[in-house]
Amino acid sequence: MQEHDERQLTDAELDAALRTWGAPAAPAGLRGKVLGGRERRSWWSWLAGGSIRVPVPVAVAVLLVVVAGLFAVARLRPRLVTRVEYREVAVPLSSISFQGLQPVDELRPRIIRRSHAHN
Amino acid sequence: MRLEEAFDQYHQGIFGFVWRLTRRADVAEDITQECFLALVKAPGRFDESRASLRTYLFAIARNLTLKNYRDAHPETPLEDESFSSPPEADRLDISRAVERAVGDLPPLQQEALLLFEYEGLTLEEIASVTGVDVGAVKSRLHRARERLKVSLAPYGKAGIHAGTR
Repeated sequence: MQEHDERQLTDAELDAALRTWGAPAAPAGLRGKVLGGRERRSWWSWLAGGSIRVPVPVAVAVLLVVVAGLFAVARLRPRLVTRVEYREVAVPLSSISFQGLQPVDELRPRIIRRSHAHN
Repeated sequence: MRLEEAFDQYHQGIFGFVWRLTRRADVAEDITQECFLALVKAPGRFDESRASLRTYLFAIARNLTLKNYRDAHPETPLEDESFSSPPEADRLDISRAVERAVGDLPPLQQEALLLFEYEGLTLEEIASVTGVDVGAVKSRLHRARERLKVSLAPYGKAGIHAGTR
């Protein structure tokens, strides 16, 4: 019996031995790696410092649409600036008459000085 | 249960379980992370009616750790019963000796022992995690304990009490 005890632990001794082996604590950074941006935050703080993940194909497509839009606006803008409309306006000729209009025979310029202007 | 709550409740247990199986903090960290990311990526895979979240997470951790083990030891069977000689009592303290003795157990006995002794899972929960019946879990647990009783015998009662102080 004594020999058996020397060769083998009892259940209680084994339990005590197993309890001596502790595991280290999980690294503090693990929480951030797992939860990351999933932590609850207010919408205004998200607006101030948040970010979104955009797939590359979507980003490229959006970029192409923006470039095409800018190009189209750049092409349209000169037309809008230089476009001039000509419109004929019908003037009633009967209201304008040059009848009786004669060149003057003699020009008699009269100089009025400022000091005599009141006369 | 929200992901944050699940993480707070179970991450230390999963990390400790994988660390004791691999004795590598970097592997334990990666696998713990993958367990919770699996929950995020495919929440539909977790069926509450089949298993608890704790069991589900330990099952993922167990499968990833076994995959890691198989990649590192492609030739070694998981139930290898080869017996290494006990560590020399005067060279190791008791916790190092336990670590080494548990590490010498076949992987399937190791996981049963670790889940039962250190993580407090029931036999039914261990059966669910490992995908075997309760009888097989009992058998693995019994064989693991019997081997440890022999391999740790050089430490005896005095050594164990000295180590626990």
